Amino acid sequence: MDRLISIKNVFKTYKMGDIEVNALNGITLDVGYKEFISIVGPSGSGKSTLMNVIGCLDVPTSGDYYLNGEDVSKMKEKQLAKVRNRTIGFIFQGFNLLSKLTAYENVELPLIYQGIGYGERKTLVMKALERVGLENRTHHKPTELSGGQQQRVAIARALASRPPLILADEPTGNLDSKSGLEVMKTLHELHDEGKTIVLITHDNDIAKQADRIVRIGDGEITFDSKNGEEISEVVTQ
Amino acid sequence: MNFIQPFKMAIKSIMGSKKRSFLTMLGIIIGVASVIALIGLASGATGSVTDQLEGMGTNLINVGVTGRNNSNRKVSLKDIQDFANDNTDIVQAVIPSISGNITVKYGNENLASTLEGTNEHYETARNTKPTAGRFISALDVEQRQNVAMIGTYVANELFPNEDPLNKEIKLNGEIYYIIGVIEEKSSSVAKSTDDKVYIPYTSAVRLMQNANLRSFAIQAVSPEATDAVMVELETFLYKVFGTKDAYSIFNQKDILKTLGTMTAMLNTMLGGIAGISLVVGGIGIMNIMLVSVTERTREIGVRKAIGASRGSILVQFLIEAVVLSGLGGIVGVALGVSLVKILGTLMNIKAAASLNTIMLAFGFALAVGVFFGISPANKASKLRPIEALRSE
Repeated sequence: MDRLISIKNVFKTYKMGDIEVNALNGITLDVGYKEFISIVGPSGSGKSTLMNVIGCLDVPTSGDYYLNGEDVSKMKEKQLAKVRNRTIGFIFQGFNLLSKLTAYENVELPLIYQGIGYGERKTLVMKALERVGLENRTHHKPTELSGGQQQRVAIARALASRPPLILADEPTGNLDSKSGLEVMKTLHELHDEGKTIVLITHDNDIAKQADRIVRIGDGEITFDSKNGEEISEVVTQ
Repeated sequence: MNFIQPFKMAIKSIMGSKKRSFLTMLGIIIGVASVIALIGLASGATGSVTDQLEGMGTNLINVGVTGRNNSNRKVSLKDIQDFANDNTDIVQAVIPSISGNITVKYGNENLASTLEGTNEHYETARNTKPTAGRFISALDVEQRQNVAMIGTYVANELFPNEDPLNKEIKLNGEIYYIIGVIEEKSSSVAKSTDDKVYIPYTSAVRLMQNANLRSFAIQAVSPEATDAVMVELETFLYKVFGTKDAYSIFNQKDILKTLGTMTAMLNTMLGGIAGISLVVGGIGIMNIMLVSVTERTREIGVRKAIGASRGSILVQFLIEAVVLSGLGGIVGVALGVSLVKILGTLMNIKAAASLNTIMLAFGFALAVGVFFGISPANKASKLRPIEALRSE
């Protein structure tokens, strides 16, 4: 198995009244291990739907999706939760930290759902927080942290359960440019350390930092830099 | 599944909004406290009545004789004695009661009190013990001795600073010697059972110049024999008076049984009323939990995205509801127990919260928490992660 993500002819159909709308219109996409790929596209392109499918938050209407060798397209909710927990680390635009929990407790959460005992959990949480340079902010609530720090807590949470895939949805969208640069730097470092990074963005400058760019339009892949096309072309499209 | 973590999360989330949590719990607190307080006080009140009745003896049959208008038919002491002799297999003793108002005089002190002419069987049958001296003996009765026992009220009034034993008192002018002081039966106030002078009934007949019985008691050989004695008594008295209206027969067992039924009914009713307030409290919890689920839709989405299964979300919200009702239950138990103590002391009854009531009320509160927690928890667990994440 050399591919982490293998999507084959995936459709996602929504019913809006009597009309059926294909948000994903036969998408086929392979992402190898340790790749750094960005998915770009305007709003309404199906980009978010694709992210939901890749992130196992939603299942495709038809088509196959293998993640890390497992057929997730036909999984039940309970198994999907397990896959999300162990295989994917989410980084959201709005950070999505739980406001009543401290940084430490937020990072701890996926490990609790994994059923890891207290001692091991503590080691993993501290390791993840050290990785993003927030070991001194463990007992701060999200509201006591800056936007950049909050996103770093979110990254630590995504890293804590040591998933092979990091799925980042507009990770710099809510940040000032300096914090955004820091987050991107962290993502590059994680890529260098062997993680597969899937970055969803509408910002071409951010997208260009990836090794590979995929552009979505009307639920189809309109451009893939893997096919020999130059990354610079996407910018002009 | 590990239940310690959901508990910690539930406590954290409850502590996160203390005022709201307290108000949510208030329904359960009041419900549990009122169950415990009402049932505790009710059983305390009936308990003291039952104690008094049991103190009168359980295999005792009381007979009241009202007589018949325009008729001279009466029961004399001899009639009753004959009845007892005819039924020795079931009748153990006859305790006549010749009573009336008398004036007790000691030195220059006068006291209006009640006379009770009785015999030696009174002591065991009525469970009445002398605290000092002795009880009337069979010999006193036989020889019509001028001996008297006095209740604690009479003793306190006439002999505030001295030992009444062997003192000479005058009952309606006749000299009697005090041979005993009867233990306190109620609270030593005027007109109570402690405001009495006991003398042999033979002496009382002489003193009151009346040999007819207004009331008497018959002690059966055993509690089981009381029914048979009552049947015989009924036949006997009917023969004497020719009408059922001239006398009344009742025994403690019947009264206790009736009282028991009434107490059980009262407890069920009070428990039911308080139970309703518990259910209302449960609805309050459900309401707040439903609001909480809506408010925390995004949190649920995040938790699901990072790997919470439907089951763990369900357990989290269910435990939150149960912890709310459980905490409410604990506070309610504490409040209820102290209410029983305080009100019991104020009302001067032996009220106590029984362990059964506490367990019942607390258990019911928990059950209410589970029952009314299921719907919100289920709603939370069914939220789809993408929609939950999208909500603001």
